[in-house]
Amino acid sequence: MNGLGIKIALLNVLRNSRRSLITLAAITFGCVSLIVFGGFVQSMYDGMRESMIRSQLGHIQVYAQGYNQFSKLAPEKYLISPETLEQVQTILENNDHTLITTPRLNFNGLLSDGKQSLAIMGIGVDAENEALLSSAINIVAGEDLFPEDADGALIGQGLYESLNAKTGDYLTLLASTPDGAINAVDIRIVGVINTGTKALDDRLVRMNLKHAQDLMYTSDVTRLVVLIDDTLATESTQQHLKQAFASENLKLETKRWDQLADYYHQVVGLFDGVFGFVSIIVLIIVALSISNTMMMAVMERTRELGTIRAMGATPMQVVNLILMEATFLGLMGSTLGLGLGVGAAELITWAEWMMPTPPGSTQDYPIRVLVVDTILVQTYFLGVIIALISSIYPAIKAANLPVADALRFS
Amino acid sequence: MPHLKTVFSIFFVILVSASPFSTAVEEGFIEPTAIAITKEQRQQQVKTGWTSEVTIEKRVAALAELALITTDTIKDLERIDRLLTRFEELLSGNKNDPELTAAMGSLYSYKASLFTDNLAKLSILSRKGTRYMDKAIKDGPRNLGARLQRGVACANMPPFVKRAHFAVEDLTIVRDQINEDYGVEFKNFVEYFLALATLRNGQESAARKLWKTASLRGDNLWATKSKEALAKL
Repeated sequence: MNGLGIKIALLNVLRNSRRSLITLAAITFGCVSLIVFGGFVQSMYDGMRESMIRSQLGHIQVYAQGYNQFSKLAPEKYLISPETLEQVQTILENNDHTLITTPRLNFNGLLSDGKQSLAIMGIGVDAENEALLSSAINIVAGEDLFPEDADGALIGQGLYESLNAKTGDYLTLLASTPDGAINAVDIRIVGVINTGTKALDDRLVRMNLKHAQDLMYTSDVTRLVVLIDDTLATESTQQHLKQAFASENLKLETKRWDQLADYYHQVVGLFDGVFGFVSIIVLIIVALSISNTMMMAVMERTRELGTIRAMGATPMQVVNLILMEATFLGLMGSTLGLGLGVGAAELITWAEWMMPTPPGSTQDYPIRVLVVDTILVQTYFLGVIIALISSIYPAIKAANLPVADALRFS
Repeated sequence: MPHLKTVFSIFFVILVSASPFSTAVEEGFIEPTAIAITKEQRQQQVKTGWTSEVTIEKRVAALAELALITTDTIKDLERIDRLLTRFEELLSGNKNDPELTAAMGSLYSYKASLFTDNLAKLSILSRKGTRYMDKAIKDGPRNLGARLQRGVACANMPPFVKRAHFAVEDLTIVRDQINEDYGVEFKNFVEYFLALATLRNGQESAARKLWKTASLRGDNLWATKSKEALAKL
């Protein structure tokens, strides 16, 4: 195809504006759909990932060696001592990525309001650092927990609703200490929290670490949770920590957020499948639409194509002409689709429409559509390629028209 | 978070227009600190305050500078950090100053709004801000300055952060205490944001009622804004 051929193809595209617009609309629709849906799915992944990191998991958790394998049998044997904790915190403070570290003491117990007792999952926390790490947690009643609230506790929304109590009331918390004795302390409900996970909110009690340690007769902690400045640096930070622990001869193990978030991987797997399926359907619709329009173009231009052949053009040159027209339409449609897709994504994000509360969650959230560079590039090329592929059959059909019949066609 | 940018601007303009406060509040309640109305007057307060040896003047300077920063169209991160350091210095001398603590919380929240492209910083700064404001109310539940700071800030936060109920609580207290003793416009200002918080708390009819009342009270900026809000609703 020479320069003249390109010019003729471009003129053909512009000559029949109605037909070209129909094809462009199909390509644009496909591009916008893929950009918006892809951006929405990506924002869901990001939102879910960050919500899990910033409400429960942190980026990395540090445990005593063997905790993840054996702690269910004997949790008291896999705690981190205050001395080791201090060493670990020093190592983490020297890491450029570290933002916050916070120790936790996990325990199970029974919470009583005088009339009933409910099984709870308790966590002793450093109130200051935990609040900053768990920034995705919402306080729905009462107030936040502060270090001076010696006997204060935040309780999950579901648990609060099951109790005959209100904020400011005292409850009795019973737990089994590491040596097997039963101990009890009073806790005051300072606030009610919503972590976003219903199963957790139905059982969660968060209290100051010191109070939890008094309850459990220990000065140890279960884990140290680490928040870093960039989720993408999690793996490298974990490697760095492992090396540092080994060089300091610390018997510790670590887990990344993605090793703890099974639910996240299930949802991502499910949505990848849905996104793939929807993408295929959209591409088929677009391809059929383009193919149909190009067929119409060939039919409408039968005499013209016959004349081109009669003037000496080879069938391959006719194929090239049709494919070149499709390429121009693909480029124009994809460019337009990219622009409109980015605009639609920004508009939807700006509008802050709320999504319904997802199953198993207790928080609703606004729809966000991210503009993802890789999706934009993929969509652009996909738009052009689909336009090209769906024009192959009409192009071959045009090339194979008998010249004499084509010239007589009316 | 972008909402916060406008919040502070509005808040400080009105806070100032209502100053100086009289002593009409119920016993035990502490009135907000009065800061100047115009930019030039505030700049003067800042200049005088920071060179002064008197803590009260420094305190006023800090609040005036916060007003200047949050109403300025240029977002200067260095200036914000400098003021945060000054807030910390002032609070190290007197930890139990709820209004100043809440103001520092406001500034942290404002700073958070400059990091919309950095989720880690945004969430930590935002949480730090709300935590300072909550601490201020915990330490001074009857400090109207602190209540006003947190109330207006939370009223403007998006509903999904679930802070609107704090705004309803704070602004109701402020409204009940000030009544019309600080002027009709100030009352309208408080009720405008109270209505906004009520709406974001899912109580549309109560919000409608508040805006209607405010829109009929006098001819001022907040009556007009209430009318507009009502029309949109």
